[in-house]
Amino acid sequence: MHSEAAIRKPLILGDKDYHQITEDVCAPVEGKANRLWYIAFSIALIVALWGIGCILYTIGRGIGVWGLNTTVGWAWDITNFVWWVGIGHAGTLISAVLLLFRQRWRMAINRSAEAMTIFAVMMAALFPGIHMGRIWMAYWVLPVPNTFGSLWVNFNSPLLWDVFAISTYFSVSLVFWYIGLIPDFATIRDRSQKALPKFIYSTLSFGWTGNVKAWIRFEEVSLVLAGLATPLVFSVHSIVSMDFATSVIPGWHTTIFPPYFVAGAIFSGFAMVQTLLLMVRKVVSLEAYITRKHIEYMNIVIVITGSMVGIAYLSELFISWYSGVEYEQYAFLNRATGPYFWAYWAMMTCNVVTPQLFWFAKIRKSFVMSFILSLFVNTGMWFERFVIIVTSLHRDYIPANWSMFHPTFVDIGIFIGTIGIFFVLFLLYARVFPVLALNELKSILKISGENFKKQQH
Amino acid sequence: MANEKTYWNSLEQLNGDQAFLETAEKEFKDPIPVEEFVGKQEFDSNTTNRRDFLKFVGFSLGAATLAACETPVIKSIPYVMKPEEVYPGVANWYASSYMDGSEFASILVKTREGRPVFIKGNRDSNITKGGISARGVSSVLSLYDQARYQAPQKKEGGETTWAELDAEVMMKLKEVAASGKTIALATNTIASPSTEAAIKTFQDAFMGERSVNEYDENGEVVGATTITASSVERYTIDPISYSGMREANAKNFGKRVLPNYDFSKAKVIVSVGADFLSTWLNANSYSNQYTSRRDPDGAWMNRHFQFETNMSVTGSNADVRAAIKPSEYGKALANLHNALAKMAGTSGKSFEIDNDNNAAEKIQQAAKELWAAKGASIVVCGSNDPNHQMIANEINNLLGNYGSTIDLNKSLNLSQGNDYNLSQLTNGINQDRVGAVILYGVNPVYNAPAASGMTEALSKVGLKVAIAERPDESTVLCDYVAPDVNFLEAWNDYEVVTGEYSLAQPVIKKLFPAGTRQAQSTLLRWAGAENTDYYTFLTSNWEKNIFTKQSKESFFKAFWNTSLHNGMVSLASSSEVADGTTFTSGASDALASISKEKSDGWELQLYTKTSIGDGRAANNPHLQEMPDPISRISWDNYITMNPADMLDQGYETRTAQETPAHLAKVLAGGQEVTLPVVAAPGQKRNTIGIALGYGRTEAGKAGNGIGQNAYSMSTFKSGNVGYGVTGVSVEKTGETYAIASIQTHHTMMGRKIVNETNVTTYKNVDRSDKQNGWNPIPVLKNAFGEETPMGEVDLWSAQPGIARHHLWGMSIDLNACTGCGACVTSCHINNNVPVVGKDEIRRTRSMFWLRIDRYYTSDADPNKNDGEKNYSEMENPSAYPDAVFQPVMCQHCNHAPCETVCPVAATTHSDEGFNQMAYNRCVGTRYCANNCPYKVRRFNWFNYNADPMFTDVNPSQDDLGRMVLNPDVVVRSRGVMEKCSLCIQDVQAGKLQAKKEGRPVKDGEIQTACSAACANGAIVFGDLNDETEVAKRATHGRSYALLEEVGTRPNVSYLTKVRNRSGEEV
Repeated sequence: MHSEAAIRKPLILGDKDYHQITEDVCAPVEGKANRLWYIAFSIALIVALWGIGCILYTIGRGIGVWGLNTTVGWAWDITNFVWWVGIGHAGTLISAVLLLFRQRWRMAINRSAEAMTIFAVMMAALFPGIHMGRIWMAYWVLPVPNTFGSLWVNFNSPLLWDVFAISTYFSVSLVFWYIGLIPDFATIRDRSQKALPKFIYSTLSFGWTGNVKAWIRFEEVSLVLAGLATPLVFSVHSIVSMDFATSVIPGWHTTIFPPYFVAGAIFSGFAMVQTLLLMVRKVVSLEAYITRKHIEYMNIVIVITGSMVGIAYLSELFISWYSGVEYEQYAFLNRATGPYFWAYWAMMTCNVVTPQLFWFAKIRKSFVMSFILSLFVNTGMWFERFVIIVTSLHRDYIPANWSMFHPTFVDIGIFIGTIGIFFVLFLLYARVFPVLALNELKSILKISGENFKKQQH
Repeated sequence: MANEKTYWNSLEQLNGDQAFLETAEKEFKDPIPVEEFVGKQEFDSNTTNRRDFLKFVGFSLGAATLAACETPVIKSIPYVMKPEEVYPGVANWYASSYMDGSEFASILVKTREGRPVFIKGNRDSNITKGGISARGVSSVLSLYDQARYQAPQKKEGGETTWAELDAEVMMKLKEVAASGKTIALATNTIASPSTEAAIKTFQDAFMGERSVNEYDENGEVVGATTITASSVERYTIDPISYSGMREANAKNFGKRVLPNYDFSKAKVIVSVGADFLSTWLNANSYSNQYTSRRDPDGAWMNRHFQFETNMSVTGSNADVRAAIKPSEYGKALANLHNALAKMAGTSGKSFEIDNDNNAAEKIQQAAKELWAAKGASIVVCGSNDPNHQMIANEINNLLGNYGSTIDLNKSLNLSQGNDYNLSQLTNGINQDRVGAVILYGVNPVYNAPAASGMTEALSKVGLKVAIAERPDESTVLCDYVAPDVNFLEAWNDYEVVTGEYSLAQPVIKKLFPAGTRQAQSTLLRWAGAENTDYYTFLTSNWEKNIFTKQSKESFFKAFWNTSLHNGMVSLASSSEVADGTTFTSGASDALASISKEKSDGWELQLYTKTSIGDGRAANNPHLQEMPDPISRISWDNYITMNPADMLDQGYETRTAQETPAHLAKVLAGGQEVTLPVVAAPGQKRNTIGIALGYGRTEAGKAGNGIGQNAYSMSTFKSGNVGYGVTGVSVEKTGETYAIASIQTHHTMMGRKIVNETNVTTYKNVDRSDKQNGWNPIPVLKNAFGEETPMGEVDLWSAQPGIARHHLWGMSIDLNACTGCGACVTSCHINNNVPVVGKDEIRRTRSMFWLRIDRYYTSDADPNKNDGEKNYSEMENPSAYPDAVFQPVMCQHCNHAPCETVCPVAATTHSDEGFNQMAYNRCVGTRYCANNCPYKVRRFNWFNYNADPMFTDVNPSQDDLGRMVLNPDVVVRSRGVMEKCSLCIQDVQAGKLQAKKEGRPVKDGEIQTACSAACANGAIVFGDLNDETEVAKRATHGRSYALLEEVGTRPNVSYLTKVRNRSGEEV
């Protein structure tokens, strides 16, 4: 049985009772959106439409509208892909791994983190699709029975592993998220006054009755799914990293990539969760639930994973020197001192230097500083992927092929556009979904709420 | 309940009578007589109910809709009368000749279903031995050019008919002749005995008495005489003139000829500004003669000194190269002559020349070696100044080269142009003696020096007629244009070297049968000849004049058929002994003239590129797209300048996609052009170079407005056109200009990419020597210091079937590769590679399956600096570097990194060693291209065959240009990857041929497009599992695989470049 010391700060502040939690969480769903929401939504929608326009232009005209060239065959497309996949890591980590470790503070943030995961993975999955020269043939990467004779996919290709890894991760994350949502949907259903919302939420809640049997099964399913999802947290980014690690390009061909990518993914995922939650707690008034404590915990994860990433960067440098391979040595020297030195140092600063500020408790506990530094990490992690992809490709083995990559407005449009689409989805989610796992939260009110602790002592 | 009363109509209803109720439910009281229409039985047996009816309607509607969406029907018309020899799907080859007025090549033309699609050099030729330039290879595309004249033209009224044109032109010509004025027939070099005969017929038709004014030196009329002569006067004008050379020979030998050089006999070659491996005179022959003596394992290897201003293809192949100014060409020759004269015991005059790259020492060295190789050396000079050429003749005579390496009796009939004709023609027009001008194959408005005043003069002529295949700057000003046919549609003969007769035959029916007529027929028609059919004229001329020179064949028909089949016949008598005895020295006059030459400010050297040449084929997009071998820039001409000078002047030296070049205004010869400045290491300091052949305005949609015309800046002094200009001003304008360069990094960064050594090391040191090994085998060291050769380290099992059947491979001899680029265009044409235009090239998106990388050496080379690596310094080439070339295509790795990463298995390995690409399966992830260490894979970024961005440049976007596409090779759609297939279609065809004949494939029988284009033998293709040339080469000590240490196990290998150096040169 779980019990907590009285001096430990409660996880839910503000003398909440069960009803109040329900009210707080259901308010955005049942009430009208405020002005801030409409402004944010409009901006996101415009950006999203612009991005969709750029995507359609690419599909209509050809990949040539991007800035890619013969030497640099991937640039912003795969950078964005890896960046979004990385962001999509935190949700499952928070809900699955922290569930297994019984970190109850996760309950305030897991719903949004998971939603973010789902949307981020959707954005990520967009890029391998649209980066194909013939997107209309995209289904060929799936091992589907076909009329082409015995033609099958190439199981040697890391890109194929990617397809499996991403689709598995997406399905499991979606199911896990949805299972968690069922009791909360049922709560909204029960509170609904109007016929249509009632119909929708009753459909979504799958006839949840809330009896003990249902709760027992709910807990069991959650545990099983958490068990399933946990290895996926590590497998997805390991496999994404193999797109690079199994190649022969200096700067890509690195055995350290799987753990390094996973650490980087958790790092960037937490940073994105941080960015979003710091906004959400203000916009949807959830200050009582997403507390300084949560922010601090996440900052601790960020500083640890950031340091791991930093060690990985340094190991790479050391190994490139130690390898004695001409090409390998040049690739890393070129990263730091070549034409893309600014990207490398942007990455180094944002990912290794600035997160170290979280060692200071004051900064770690500051909402403003956390927000700023989380943006730094988001930027730094984008640059990390850009550095890996572009600076490795642009100067590889044969100097006659060396070139530069210059993005076009379409490259930029699509990247910004996916951020727009992401926020459109997230803002819609914040209006129609319970943004906190309200029924689960009630379970910690009993043991970790302020009132409970007062009653006890 | 009260209001629920029921009213009834009848008692039956009230009573619920059964009969009533039945009828009440029916709409019509009486039964409808359906049975009368359909038989009762059928009606009963029909089970169609409403639902079935709707299904049928739905199906019919759907089927009708689908049937309406029929795929477009492409009608192919079968042969009603199948021509003999033409089988669909089987290529026919014809021997012919390519001669564009400046260069010649004996060729073989491949036709498919009656249309020529590919040209390669004829290896059986006595003259070119298969040598062909990029221009010759690409000329097949010019046949299908929409810009060609398709009907006779008249200045007023546009298109006209032949009848009208002939009548008017003949009438006007007669009027001119009658008026006592002359008809000027301006042609470029013809070198065709039968065409000359046709011209003679034309001239004879205007024979008559006429009064001729006599003039004094100032052009004042001093009297008149009456002569009997033709009114038609010949003027031979070449865009690139060798008139000075002919003049020097006239002075020295009494014959206005060009000698026939044999570079294969020369042990020491000194060239002063002559780009004899690329564009100078009969380079198609010289190139393979030269490379036949570049084998370090051969009996001897020639030694090549080059003194020049711009880095040329020839200069980059030299063993010793020194950059000199254009104004120093004469002085360098004089100094060389002086040094040799001292050795011969006489004395000469010596001059001071700028010595910033040890030119003086190199001249002394050259003299020493020339003297040692007396009688087996060649000194050539690229200058058009007769004084320079006379010194070169003087040296060759001193060395006794006439009669051994240089043959004056068998003269070279290319470049017959006489620059005096330029002034004679303009004077004639200005003095109103010329009543009509017929331009045949010349474009003086575009390419005469501005100083000649040709353009203004032409505008004064009463009647201007052009005989031309395509519009140019001169024909558009003419009153009449008589369209000529393309050389692939025409009969012709050539005598390029005395006694060596070549034939050209039509390989396709005229594309514009009504609108075009062969030039010779036009001249015969205007001459009023009875027979205007040139084929008949040609054969009768051969029967009369050429058949009689031989005694081997007794019947003309047999002689003709053999000659036509072979494309040539050699009637040269070897009995004539060459003579140097008649040599008349002109050294003192020449030296006096040379002593007056002064260096003055910036100097300009005009040159021609191997791709565009003199500019007549500027509308050929393949040639525009082909990067210059040295600068690697396409779709432009530009100012070449030494990077050291550029840094002094503040120009951008490292142009790239988004780093444009700076523009500069050049003022030379009174003419001004504004062009971008690009870095050209090896260019003499304080000089610039500009390529001729650009700035066309009437070439066609692909060639118009590309670069600037530099012909106008050539000097025109003492009758000869000069391509070196002194006193030039170069001024930075402050504006920038985007340059399309296929290569933006120019040094090898100390890597073993092009492996190079010198002959001393090669002969004396083991290839894998720990210290000085010149071709070490890459090894993998383990922790215990044990070494395993990379070839034995293996992550994968060997490819299945690799040791069975064939294993196709290629070997590229870097010693034999001069970098000329003929293979690049050959590959381009044979494999339907799209042309993408300047903007895409600038974005590093060229589609070449085969590229020739060019590297400069750097001062910071770790081999020079005790292995210390300073990468940022290594990025900068030396001011006067060496340059090397390396053709790179798909290496067909047996452990191909591309094959493992494709998610859909679109690229796979064949049992015969090919790395294959299934375009239809490709989804375009580009992963394979990223993972290719050689970066040889090319992605279709756009739909090049339909996207409007490429309409002007891609010939496959118009119906005519599309005819050049090779029917054996699929045209790729957008979004798929493509790359070199080692011309698998030709390999399959060769295997099939051997199979049909029931024999194994013979070595050399199957040629790829690149190996077919390379008469130097640099590229050899064959079966590595057989006793073939390529198998022999692959195991040679010089052989290495590119990036062998990566472990890709390519089937393409390279032979180390060995320069003929001792390693101790200055």
